[in-house]
Amino acid sequence: MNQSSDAVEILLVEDMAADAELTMVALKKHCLINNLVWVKDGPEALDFLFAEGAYVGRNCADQPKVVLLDLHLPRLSGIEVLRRIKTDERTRLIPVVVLTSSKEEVDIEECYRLGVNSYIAKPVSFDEFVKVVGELGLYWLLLNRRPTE
Amino acid sequence: MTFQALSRFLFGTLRGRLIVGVAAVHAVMMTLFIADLTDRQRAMLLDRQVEEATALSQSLATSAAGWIAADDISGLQELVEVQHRYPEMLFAILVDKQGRVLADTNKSRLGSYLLDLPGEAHQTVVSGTSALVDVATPAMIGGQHVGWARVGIGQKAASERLADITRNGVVYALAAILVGSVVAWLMGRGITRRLYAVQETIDAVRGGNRLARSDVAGTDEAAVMAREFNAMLDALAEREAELRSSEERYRSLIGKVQAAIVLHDGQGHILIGNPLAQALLGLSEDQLLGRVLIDAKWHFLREDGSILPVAEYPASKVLSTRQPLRGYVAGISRPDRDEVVWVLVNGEPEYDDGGAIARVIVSFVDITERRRAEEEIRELNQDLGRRVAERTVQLESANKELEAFAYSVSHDLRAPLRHIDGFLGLLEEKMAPTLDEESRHYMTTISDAARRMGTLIDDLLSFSRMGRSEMAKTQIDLGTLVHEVIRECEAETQGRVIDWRIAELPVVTGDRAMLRVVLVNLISNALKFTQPRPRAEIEIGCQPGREGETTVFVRDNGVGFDMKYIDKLFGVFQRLHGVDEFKGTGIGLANVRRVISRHGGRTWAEGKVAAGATFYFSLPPRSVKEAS
Repeated sequence: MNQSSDAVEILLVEDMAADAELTMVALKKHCLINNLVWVKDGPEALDFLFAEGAYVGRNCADQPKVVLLDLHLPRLSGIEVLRRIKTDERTRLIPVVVLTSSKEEVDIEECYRLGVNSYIAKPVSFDEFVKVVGELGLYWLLLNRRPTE
Repeated sequence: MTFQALSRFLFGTLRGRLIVGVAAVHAVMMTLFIADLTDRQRAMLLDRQVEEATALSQSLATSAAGWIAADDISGLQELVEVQHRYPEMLFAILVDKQGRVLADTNKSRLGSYLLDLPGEAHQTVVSGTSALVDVATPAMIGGQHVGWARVGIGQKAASERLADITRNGVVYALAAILVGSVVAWLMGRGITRRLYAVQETIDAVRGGNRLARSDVAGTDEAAVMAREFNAMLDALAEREAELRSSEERYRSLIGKVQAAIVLHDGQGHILIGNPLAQALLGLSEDQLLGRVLIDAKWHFLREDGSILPVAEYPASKVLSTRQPLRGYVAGISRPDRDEVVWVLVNGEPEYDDGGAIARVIVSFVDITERRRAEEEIRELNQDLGRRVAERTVQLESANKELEAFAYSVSHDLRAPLRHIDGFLGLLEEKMAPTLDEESRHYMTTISDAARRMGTLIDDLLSFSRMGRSEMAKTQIDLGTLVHEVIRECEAETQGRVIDWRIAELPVVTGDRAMLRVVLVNLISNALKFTQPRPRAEIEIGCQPGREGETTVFVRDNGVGFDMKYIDKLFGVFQRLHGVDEFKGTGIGLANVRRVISRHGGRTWAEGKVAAGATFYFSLPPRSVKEAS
């Protein structure tokens, strides 16, 4: 499902295929699936955002409207990815929504300290999951206004 | 030599002096008396002689006057001769007015002239000594001076009498001197014998007989002296006994006391070192007292093991600082021992009347064993500390593992559930047109099970969090918190008739979030189990508990419970009602108990089937403040 598009709207960072699929289904139900890039771990996410590694040549100025970030990732944790995004001038302004199974207070606190824009715990119930993902997609892609590039 | 011996014999003793003195006084007094007596006698004799001579001369002049006028020489001679009947008569002379001797008892002077006649015609004593009284009397006839009668009287008999008197006086004086001396000797002997008796006692005492006492009795000075002397001896004996007894006590104390004591003089020299001090310091008495040199390997040590210079020895310190030395710890490196002997040293100065240090008492206590024990305890403590640290590390790592486990539970276990439910949902959507009622029921059951498991995981995590999260204690107004919780529950209670009875509640110290969990659980339980009641009655109140505790209760008129299951009430995932009857996982009261016990309080409940339940929790006194 790797789609390279000039107008990337969503960067989905999720190691589990099942979760990624459910997320995409939920977004699709709200017709928000266009221009979504799915990466499976932290380094790949950073490569994409900074146009490095496999993504060399990508236009760095063309950044997603929102990053949906799982915390529980192989190689580089979601917290670390968030830190890198929020401490780099080039990516600092990209809205990052943590979408995770963890409801741990420490995680929530740490993410907010690093400057996360939203923290969503994935509901177990599919209906609720669809509802939550749909709402956040609508909010960040359609309702939210970003500084003009 | 002889004079000295004599002088010593006479004046060397009180007795001699007394005798010589009394004899001398006698001699002087008798001599004066006799001299005076003879002098008076002599004067008296002379007076009588003069009177006699005057009377004779007068009568001769009267008798001779006519004869002289008649110039009858022979009559005059007869008249003169007659005068010889006076034994003491020396001469009788008659002369005419010109001084020619007319008659004389010594005829050889006849016709010669007397030149020593008085100038005028008055009776005159020409010579008045005791050897010769010579009186010249004018012979007068009818107031006419015709010649002189001169009579000389000697004193032979009177002188003899006077010599007798003088001789007798001397004899009496000598007798008196003798008698006086004898009396003086007797008196002196009497007095001095008593004195000698006292002296004998003194000699005896000096000779060593401390019990000798003088037995001189009476009221005189010797007796008084003897008594005073005896009293002095008694007092001395008493003092000596006291001193001896004090000395014995002191020796026994120093010798037997179970402490090492060394006594120094004001210069720091050791006067006494008791046996324990000798044993502890490892020095003989001779070494201590400086009579024998101390081994060069013998040292006092500081606590760090360095050698203590002599100037810093305890006694020297007390002498230099003039302050007591207390609790000073020193080591003793003894050549006869491998190990250092550790001692606790105290030094006390003693001052003389002038404020100078007269003595320094230094005492030593052997603390070698104590130090060893302390060392062992210190090592044990270090060991214990190390083990505690190890255990703490183990515990922390176990805790970390637990947290990691909880974390993975929250994430890893939930993900599959989500996937089950998610894909079941997708499957249901896809199959919807072809699914029969039974299949749809199966799918719903699977979905419910997955969701329920999700809830269980969440509850388990929250329970675990209640146990391990840090407590942030603040002042909490329970009343405000209760109202806050009730407001939150309003969404669930819409349409229900609920009679809230909320009393005044105290301000307590505790973790706000945790106590909130307690109230949420108790209140939502009360709401849940009163659901079947048309009118729910929920009472929240406060009552004083035992030992100053504050007890808060939540009472409802709900379905209640059977007291025989009370043990299960606060257990994890323990439920007294079916899931279909009342929702819930059975974690709520377990959380309540955990939070309250972490606050140091207690939880309990009372209930009856179909007759409501009351849940209590208490907080210890220190966490409760007076509700204002």
